[in-house]
Amino acid sequence: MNITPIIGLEIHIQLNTKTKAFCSCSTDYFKSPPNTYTCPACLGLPGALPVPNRQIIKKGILFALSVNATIQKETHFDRKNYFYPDLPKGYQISQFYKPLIKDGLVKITVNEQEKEVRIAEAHLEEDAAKSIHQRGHTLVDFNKAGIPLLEIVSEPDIASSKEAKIYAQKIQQLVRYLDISDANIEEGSMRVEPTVNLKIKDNKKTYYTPLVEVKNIASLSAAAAAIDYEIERQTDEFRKTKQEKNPKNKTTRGWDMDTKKTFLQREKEGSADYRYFPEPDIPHFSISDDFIDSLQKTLPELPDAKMARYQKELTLSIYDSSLLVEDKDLALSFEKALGEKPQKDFAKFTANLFLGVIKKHLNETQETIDIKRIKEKDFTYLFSATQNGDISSTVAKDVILEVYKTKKDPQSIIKTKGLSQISDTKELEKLAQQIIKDNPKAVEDCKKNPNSIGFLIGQLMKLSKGSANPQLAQEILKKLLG
Amino acid sequence: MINPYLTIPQIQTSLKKGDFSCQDLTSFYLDRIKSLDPKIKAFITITPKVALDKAKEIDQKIKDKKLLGKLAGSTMAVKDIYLTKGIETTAASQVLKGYIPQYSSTVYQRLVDEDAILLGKTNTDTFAFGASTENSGFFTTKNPYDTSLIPGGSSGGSAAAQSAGLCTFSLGTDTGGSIRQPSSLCGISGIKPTYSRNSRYGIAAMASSFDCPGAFAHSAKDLSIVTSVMAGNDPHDATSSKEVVPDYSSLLENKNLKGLKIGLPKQYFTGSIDPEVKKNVLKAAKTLEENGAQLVGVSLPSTDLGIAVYYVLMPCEVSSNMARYDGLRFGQSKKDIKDLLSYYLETRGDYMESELKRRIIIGTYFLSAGYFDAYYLKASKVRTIIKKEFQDVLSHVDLLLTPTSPTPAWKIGEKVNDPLKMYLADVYTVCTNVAGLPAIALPTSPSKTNLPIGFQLIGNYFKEADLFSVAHQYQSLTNHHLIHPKL
Amino acid sequence: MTKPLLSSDKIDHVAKLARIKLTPQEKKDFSRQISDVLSYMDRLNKVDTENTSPTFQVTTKPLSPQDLRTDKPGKSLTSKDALSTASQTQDDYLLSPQTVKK
Repeated sequence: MNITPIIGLEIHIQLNTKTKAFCSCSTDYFKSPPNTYTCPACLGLPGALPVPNRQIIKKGILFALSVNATIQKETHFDRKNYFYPDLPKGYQISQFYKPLIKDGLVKITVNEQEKEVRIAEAHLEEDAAKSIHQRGHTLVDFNKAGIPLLEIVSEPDIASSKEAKIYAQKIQQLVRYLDISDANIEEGSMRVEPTVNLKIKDNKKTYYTPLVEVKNIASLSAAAAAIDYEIERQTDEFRKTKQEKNPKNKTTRGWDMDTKKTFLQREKEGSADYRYFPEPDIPHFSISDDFIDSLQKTLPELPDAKMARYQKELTLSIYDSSLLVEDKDLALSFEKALGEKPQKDFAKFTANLFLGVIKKHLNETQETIDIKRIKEKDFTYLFSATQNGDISSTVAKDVILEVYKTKKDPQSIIKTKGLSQISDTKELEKLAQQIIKDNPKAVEDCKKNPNSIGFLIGQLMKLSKGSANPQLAQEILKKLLG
Repeated sequence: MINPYLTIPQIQTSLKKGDFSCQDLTSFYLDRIKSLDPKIKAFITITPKVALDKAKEIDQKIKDKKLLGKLAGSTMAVKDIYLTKGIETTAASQVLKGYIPQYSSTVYQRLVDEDAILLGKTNTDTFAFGASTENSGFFTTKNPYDTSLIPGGSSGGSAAAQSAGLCTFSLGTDTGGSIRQPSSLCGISGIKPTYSRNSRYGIAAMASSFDCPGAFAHSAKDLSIVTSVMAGNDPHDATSSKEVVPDYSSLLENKNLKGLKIGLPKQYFTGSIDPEVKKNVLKAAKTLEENGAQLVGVSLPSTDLGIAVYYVLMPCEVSSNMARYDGLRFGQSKKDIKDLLSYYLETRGDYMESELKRRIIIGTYFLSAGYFDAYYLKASKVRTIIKKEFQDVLSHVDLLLTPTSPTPAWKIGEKVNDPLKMYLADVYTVCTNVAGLPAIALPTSPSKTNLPIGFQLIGNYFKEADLFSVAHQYQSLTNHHLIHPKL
Repeated sequence: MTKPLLSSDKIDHVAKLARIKLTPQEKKDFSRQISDVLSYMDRLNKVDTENTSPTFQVTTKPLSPQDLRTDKPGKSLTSKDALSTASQTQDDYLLSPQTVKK
């Protein structure tokens, strides 16, 4: 049996607008007391009508531009009808017949190979209310009802959980660069729902297993785990039942974090009957080329372009470039530190400080970078001090971390901590004599084997708290040891 | 003794002269409602406190010589699908019984802001689904001309209240004829403006792409005054028009009857039309002709498709608009049902009236898998054809004159078990809604048995001013609008 | 007699989709009445709409995104007002029948 997974991803991102998609209620729902941001429209009271927020169209178009998609200028909203307590109107305002975005393309890198994932469509819709399930009943908070969502539907171009994860990360990175969403999976502002089935070749025949959509996924690693689980489960299932896909046997399964298994949520009666029809309460749209052009101009440099530029203009490695562009704010901070038209050596030096110190610090503290603390002059100062031999590169790393943490300038940190490199011969001779006196055994060793001088140099560096110029220290020790 | 059929300008003159105070006037109407409404049954809720408080406020303004609202002293009866904050709004349905809205509809608020006085909320077919008020979840309103007859519908409560002189003006909604048909059957004037002219915000939706809030009054002039206040863009209704609203009442003499081209679409004068209705409607046309207008025979070949288009699209929109009535956030609900599906089925099944269920089922069927193209899309295309026919005709004539209802008012119970027959009662009104055009309904000579007969003038988009002007001049030449039922 | 276009099964299915329980009498009446209506609607199929585009909104002109509401928060209802008409509440939440088995 030869098995190829066929995976498509539906990614919902909450658009980071100030007000809901179809009313003026604030979107600041996260951690707000229940039912404090509602109005007749988002509660679905009788007679209330939706009034679309212009930002949702703008943000949608920005996404379309970033993935080279077709923008359907005559787009409109449709109603998706179904009953659920978290859906106040009994229908969700969504897009079905003419979604804003069609036919996009995302490039991902898997095992150093470039791969394309096609985006079938992306459409605007409103979020449902939040439900808290208790024994015997459900509590509903409508603060989240009506938050704008962009649903990005990929073609089933993904062949493994690893690819799925990389693709989702790429979407997350893109929407953050575009500043259209926080795309935080843990907080629910990004949701990933894979649809998985298998292509199975057996005895020269090809079979396709029934489609399974997996929901309740709370992290990217959970998405990957759920996909892997489904691949295994469907393989077993096929072995047992030989059941193949048909238009009526798509099912929805939930991911259980505790058992690390998917469980059947509902069997679909054919495709669910949502009775879509054009939303009569919202005028249809006519988006002009001028409007799209004006947004095109505001499009920031996107990660792929940035990475290419770092490699070409700054001669950074692919690896370093990819780490720097991973997070938009980090990349922007890096560029702020570089200033305009940086020298390649300076760029390399700064990249090392970012990746070796700042990013490490951010990872440890789980913080996001504060761009205000990044100043070009601090980096140029440290760079030239290192070049001049005033400080060692180790010291430069310690200093930049201190600068970032305390907002002090590097000069004063070097001064108060005495980190200036000792290149004064007399000073070093004093230290060297002290070391020779304190380490008679090592001195003996060194006389026998001159290569073991490293130990004494280390001792000297330690005594100088790292501020001795190591090259000069070696010369002086050699001289004193004859 | 106050004349219950005072018009808005008459009331304002009297208030100025001090003939009576607003409180006197309001008490007069409240007393009249108290004595006559048990017979007519126009009101679901009467709001004496709200009315008298407002009247007192206006009297104080008069005393303090403060600026008065444009409708100061005008009493109004409001169809009970307009949400009125703090005042029970039922949509004449068990579904909403007891519902006290958290907000008010835009047009109602605009009228109150111009010092109109709310007397109460009027009966309608449940959620405006009907043509007789027999589908009300509470009771049937009677025609003031003969209480064994229906008043028409769905805005039958407002029309009956208007006809019986229980208010200065009243509010209705017209989705397929629900203002014009009861206007005709109750012998009063009614306006259905261009779709999107009046905000729909805060009015329980029936069919969103058809619903038109509008008004009834004792004269076309009063309608023009009320419409100037109601109309205009509303930031809460994305479909409401941004067209400027003229002061209609200052334009009443603007449209010269001389040389006015009035189209008589032949499809509106054939088929099952009552001969007396036809005769009296043509009599109205004749009056206009005698005063300089030119009558032109025109054709709207797709007229008979109007009902079919309407009865596909409307239930589709209804089925979706009614989905919010699940008893959870508002409205009546079944308690102690643990299973969600059973909860929905029982709550919606038990509180919804038959006509409501029927239309939801039809609409759900049309929209359900596989039927969208055959019904909704097809009907939307035929809608284009109907609209285009009107536009073509209205590029040759100034307005159209047609009957509003094929017959005068019918007996209560006569059509109630035959929905299709009831639906066909909309035959002359529905195409206007399909196309979204404005129309004004006016009384012509009554029948030999003294039942009101009406006609309508249909204008081009946003040409309400023309309709008011021609209607006003017609009413200056005739006195059909001054005939009132004997109560 | 008109041929019933709407089977009892179909009515059941549609009623469930619409979340409406029908009485046996309603089911019977609706089946006949809706079939009548459907036969009447048949006349639409005779219209040639080959080259006609649909009208979904009669007077409303297509909007440009610039015409839409600006993204500025407005006033919301208090939780008390929002839930004032709710059937059941608990701690400022709306209470509904259980949606997911726990």
